[in-house]
Amino acid sequence: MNGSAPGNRGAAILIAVAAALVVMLAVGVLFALMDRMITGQLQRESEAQIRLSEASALDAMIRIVETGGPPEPGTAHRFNLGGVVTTLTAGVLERTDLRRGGFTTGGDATPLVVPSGRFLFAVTPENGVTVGVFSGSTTERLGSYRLGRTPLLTLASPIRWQGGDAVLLALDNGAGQEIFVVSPSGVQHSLTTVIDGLCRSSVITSGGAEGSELLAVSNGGNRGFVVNLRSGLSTELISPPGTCPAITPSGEVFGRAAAAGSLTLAPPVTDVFFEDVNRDGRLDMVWAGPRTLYALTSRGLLSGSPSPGASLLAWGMIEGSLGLGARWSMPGGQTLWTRLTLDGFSPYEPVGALTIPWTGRFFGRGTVVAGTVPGGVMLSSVSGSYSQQILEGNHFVWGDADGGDVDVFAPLSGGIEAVFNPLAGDGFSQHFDMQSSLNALNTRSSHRLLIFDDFPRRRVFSERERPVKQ
Amino acid sequence: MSSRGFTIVEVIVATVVMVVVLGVLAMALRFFFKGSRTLELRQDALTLAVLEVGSVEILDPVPEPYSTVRTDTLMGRGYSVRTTLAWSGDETRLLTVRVSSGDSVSVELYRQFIISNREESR
Repeated sequence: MNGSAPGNRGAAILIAVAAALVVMLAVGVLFALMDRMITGQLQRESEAQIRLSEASALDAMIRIVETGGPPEPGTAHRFNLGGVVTTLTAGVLERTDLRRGGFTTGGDATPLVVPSGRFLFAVTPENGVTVGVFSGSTTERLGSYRLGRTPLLTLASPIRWQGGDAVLLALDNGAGQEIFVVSPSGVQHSLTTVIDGLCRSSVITSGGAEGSELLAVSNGGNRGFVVNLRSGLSTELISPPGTCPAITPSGEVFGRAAAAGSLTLAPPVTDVFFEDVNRDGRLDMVWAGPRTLYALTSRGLLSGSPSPGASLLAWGMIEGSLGLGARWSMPGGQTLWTRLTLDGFSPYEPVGALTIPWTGRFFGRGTVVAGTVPGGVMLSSVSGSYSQQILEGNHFVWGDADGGDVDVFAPLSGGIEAVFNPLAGDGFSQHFDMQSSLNALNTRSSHRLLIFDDFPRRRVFSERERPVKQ
Repeated sequence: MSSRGFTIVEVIVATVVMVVVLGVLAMALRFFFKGSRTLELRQDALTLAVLEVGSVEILDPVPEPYSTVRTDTLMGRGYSVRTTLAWSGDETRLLTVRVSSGDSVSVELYRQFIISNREESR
């Protein structure tokens, strides 16, 4: 043992040290890997908080602009949340066109579009019925819910549910109707009921206090059902010809119980809406159909038809000028306007924007009117001195999806094109440079606030322009 | 025959070196596996926290102040999710979401809401 050859002396130690070096190298690699994983995780946590802090800062900036107007260029506002310091520096103020946006629903199907308060619901027939929910303010998709069956979609309508905005879907399962209430956070309520005559042309209204929401569904004419959405109980109603049973937003029912088996011949109704058409401070009801226009005001039920046989081409309200008015095609082929006055409906000589061939319902306020014309959507000054086609196409949906005034949507294959608040007209845009920092992490991005003086309040929307690399 | 092999001193030194090195390796592996598990827990906790904030963000209107504690499971592991929505000013509410697993792992996220941005649009 003590006589090892000179060539082997120290070999055991050498092998041990070599092995030790390899092991220590592996340990070093392990530590480096672990350090990298820890750093990555901490960065993900920081980035999550930065995203939330930046969204909070933008909300606060929007509030500042809404209440105090756009800040002077170069003004910096600092916000601190969750350890993140976010600085928003204002840029120059520029004129901007109407706010436009696009919603991507995916697939080839053209979605059924339901604007509801601050959200847009896009219903597509994918593996049953899929409801996509989008923010009207940012156009971002907030969620997507699949009603995991394969029934036929009969109706979709906006509804207020538990103080929030939602969509009501009526699906036909062969034996009856399944009704779903879907909010941005998911399916809130469902019930099964039987409503005779429910079809795509049925007119829907809903209202009522929380916990006793009511739904009125017409059969296209002056009969229909009122359904208690909590209990599923339904009652058949009838209303005067030219109208249909309806529920006001506060939950009042228009119509009376129908006698069993009674038959009535009544003109169809395609649209019902609630507006203060005679400016007495109370909501009135308006029904429109291919040949009729009726308004229920404090003076009773008033007909807007100029003569028997006239066809209704367009109808709507222009607050501050026309009031409630309608464009008719007379049996002889000529067109005629009527408008609601203190004495009821009377003929009206069209001037300015009313010479435009509006079709369907139009909307107006002050000096601006917007509506559908053959081939697109038109925005015009009431005087007619300025007009602009803002959307092309033949099928449009009007409603509010950003918590403001009426918006207009063009459903397309795989998406939706939108023009928001066309009655608010042009606005201003202001760029904001956003810088955030948390520990050693710094981010920069650029945002644009779109500012519309939409009387009586200023409305502000934010758009992310681009991330800026550090 | 006597010219082959190692001396006893060599064997002892080599053995000591290997024992020390293997000890370090064992400690490093233990640290690595424990750290990996902690990181997995933090990752899942962050996912749950982001989902919880998102579920409150889309509520309309912003709810009244509240505080809830619930348990949630992700990848077979249990987490405690504490959500608190509190007034943080005249027209702001502060959402705090804290997701924890045991005493060692905890992830906290904050989001502030301006109430009037939403309420006035009605």
